Amino acid sequence: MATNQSLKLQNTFRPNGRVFEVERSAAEHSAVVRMLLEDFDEPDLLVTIIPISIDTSDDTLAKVFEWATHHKNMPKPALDDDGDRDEVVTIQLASWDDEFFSDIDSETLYGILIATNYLDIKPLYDMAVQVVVNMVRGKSTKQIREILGITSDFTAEEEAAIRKETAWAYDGEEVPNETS
Amino acid sequence: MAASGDAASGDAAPDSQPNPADELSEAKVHAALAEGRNLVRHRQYSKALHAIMEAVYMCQCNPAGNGKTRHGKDKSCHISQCIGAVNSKDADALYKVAKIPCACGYSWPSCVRPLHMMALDALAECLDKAEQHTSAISTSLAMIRLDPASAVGYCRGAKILQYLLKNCSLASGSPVNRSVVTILRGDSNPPSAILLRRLLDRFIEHGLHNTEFYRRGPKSSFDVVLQMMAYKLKIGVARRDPVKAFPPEVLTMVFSLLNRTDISRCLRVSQRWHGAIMQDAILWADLRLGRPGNPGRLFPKFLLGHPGIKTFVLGNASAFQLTTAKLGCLLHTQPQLRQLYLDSGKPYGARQSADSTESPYRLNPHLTHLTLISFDMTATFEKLVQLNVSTLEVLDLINTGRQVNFVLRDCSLPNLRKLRIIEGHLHPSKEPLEMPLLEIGPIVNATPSLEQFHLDGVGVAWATSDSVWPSLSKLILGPNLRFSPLIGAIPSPYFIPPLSSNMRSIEILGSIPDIAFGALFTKLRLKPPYPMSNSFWSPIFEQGSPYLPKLEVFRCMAPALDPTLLRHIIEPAAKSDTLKVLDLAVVPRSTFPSVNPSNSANSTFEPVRDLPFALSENLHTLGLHDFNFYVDPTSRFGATSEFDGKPFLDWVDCFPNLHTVACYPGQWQRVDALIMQLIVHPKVKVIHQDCLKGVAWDEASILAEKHGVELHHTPNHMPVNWPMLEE
Repeated sequence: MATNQSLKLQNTFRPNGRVFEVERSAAEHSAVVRMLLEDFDEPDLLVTIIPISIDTSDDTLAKVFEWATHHKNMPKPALDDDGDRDEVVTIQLASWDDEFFSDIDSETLYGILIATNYLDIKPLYDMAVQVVVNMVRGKSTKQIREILGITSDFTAEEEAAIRKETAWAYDGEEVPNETS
Repeated sequence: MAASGDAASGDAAPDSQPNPADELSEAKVHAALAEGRNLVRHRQYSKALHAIMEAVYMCQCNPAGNGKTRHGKDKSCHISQCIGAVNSKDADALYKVAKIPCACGYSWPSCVRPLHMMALDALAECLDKAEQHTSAISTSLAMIRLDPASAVGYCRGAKILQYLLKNCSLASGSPVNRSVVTILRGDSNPPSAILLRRLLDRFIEHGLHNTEFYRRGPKSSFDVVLQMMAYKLKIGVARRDPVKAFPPEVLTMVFSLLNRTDISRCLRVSQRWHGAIMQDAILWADLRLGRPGNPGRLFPKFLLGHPGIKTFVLGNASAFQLTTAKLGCLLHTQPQLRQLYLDSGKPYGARQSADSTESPYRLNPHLTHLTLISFDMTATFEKLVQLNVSTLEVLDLINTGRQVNFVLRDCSLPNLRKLRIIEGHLHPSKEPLEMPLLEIGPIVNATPSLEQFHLDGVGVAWATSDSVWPSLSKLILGPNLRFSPLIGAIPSPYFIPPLSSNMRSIEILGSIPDIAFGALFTKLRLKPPYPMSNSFWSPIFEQGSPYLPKLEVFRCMAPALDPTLLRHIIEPAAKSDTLKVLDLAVVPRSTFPSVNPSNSANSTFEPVRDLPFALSENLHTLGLHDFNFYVDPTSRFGATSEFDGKPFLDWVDCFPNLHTVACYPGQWQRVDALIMQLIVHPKVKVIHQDCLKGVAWDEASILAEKHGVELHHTPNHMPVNWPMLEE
């Protein structure tokens, strides 16, 4: 099978979405696309524009396809492979991926998460989840708010009540006192 | 940002109403605005203002047209009220101000029609171009009062503020500087760019907050523009809240990768986070608590908030104080419960007894796994087991005392696949203090479907019974098992039913030969006299050998099996290359010459020569215990301090797919050298041993790391493979 075939994909979530022409081997990172290729006549798919509907911008999708194109030769997991989700914990970003994530803003990152979740592009999804997890892991409540730009809408009493309600479940561990 | 005006017209279109009269009036507004914009382009600002004002008053929210009263010309009350709100610490302050009348008492118009907003936007743009910056800001603030949830006003205001920031200078008197001074309420003169920049940041933050929090419809392009501005200005708020941004399955994924401490902190981030985490059914379905504190009266409330718990692990209940009431509450509130693991946390020798003989339990229709550690098997837990006998598939009773007999004697567990009974600590460091006798017969009767059986720390006796375990495939007999053959009417050496040909794994970890004989040669109907560990009886045992063609794991730490007997057990599985793990203790040297009379007196046991039937192509793990192949030429039985491990290395060479060795020769000098040879052996990747100490361990570790070998210090023997719920 020729690997230089390309597929056309268009985000129909908003009108006038850009039509992306993506190499087939890159687009196959998406389990959704692979399922489409299996279920439908290939010649049709190679001609028609495949509609996808994701609440994300064309620029974000462009990033997703940039990643897929760069990794087009990476082996793809089998469709019925449920995958061991525990593996995610140990993901080490390769230098290219590291750079890929370092120069995107969080809006794009979130868009990538939503898009890869929809398209089922597991490796990129797992990496994006990991980046979000790293924003939260090991941080105090106050730091989480600062990092993600969230304003607390709890009163001091409410926050203390939640702390009390859940404190018993956490190994009797002293949750560091955070003054805000 | 230049596109914002065009985007407004694009946005307005979908909201237009079908009413022809409305369409007509909207067309008029559009015409007036187009005229105004055209005039702006030709710098005819006063004419433009007139046209745009007409458009503003054409909105249907204002049927009286021009008749409505207007705010006085001096808008300073309006501006300072809004800017004050922007600078306040309350995130909702600007929204609140937008909903109340002006400080002077004037009621600003409120309207959600996009066209009205668009007209005001055109007005602000025109004023800005005409260098009436204060009025322009005032108009953009009026836009926020018009509809605080719309992003248009914030975009326009931010754009004006950005222009002022760029163009304000130290020279006083310019229109820009005058406006800045007014906006900053005379806080600084000459105007402070820092204060203005701070105001701009706060203004956009309020915009992002209000448009996100109070947004009614889908995002408009103005929301995106506002977001982009925030990014360009590197405003913290631009980092969006993931809990708002993500669909639930992505959030579940994120939260599932955090530990409980992180989750407890996340719970307090905001109401939204709290709600998202508490409602995440998947996150709470698997609740594993290490050593929780005492929740007291919070426990019922907590459980009612999470009615979908499927796995509940209580790793150490010593602080939690598991009472009958708490257990009852758990069982009553959790109909989905599948796996229950309770460890009282008491050291061995002390158990927690239930505080009540009442049993406020119900049947949990899905409960399949039950683990009880260091609890007295009195009425409370007896009831728990008996209520769920029909669903239980895995039962784990650790250090539950002699009542085990009574609990299991009278019940039937038709679906039980996996049973573990250990008296003593889970990780025994010393012998159990007491050794309850366990009658296996009634247990066999009660568990016809049993597949895996793990027993340790009890005295066993085989009460006469014809019951069998036809499905049993895995048997583990722990190191602290004792044999009590004299219980019951007929003394019997067999304590488990005959092994079927389904056996895949047999691990006998104790050193008592009678246990090994009693477990393996159960087909024997003739009862040899006790004690039996005598090679004289070998031919008789041969008759009673089980046929185990599917055997994958065979471990026997008891020096019970001479090559003849071992051959009966492992040869069928080794021949078909099924055998994967072989871990043996060598029979004491003195007994070997008698079973190998053909060998000369000087030769001793050599695995390559004596165990040729063990060669399984797929064998990957090989272990040998209590060996020393050194033969003193001068004295056959003389004590020796020499050590020879070479034959073990030769044996290792025989297995093409071997990667793991367990090397436990015992206390000899120069055992270290053997381990070093194993480390550099090309096939060996994992080593279990317990003889390296001090400097020798350090040296071996360095060597192992260099050769990519996992070197483990594993006391006594390799661990058993019995996957636990809490792992």
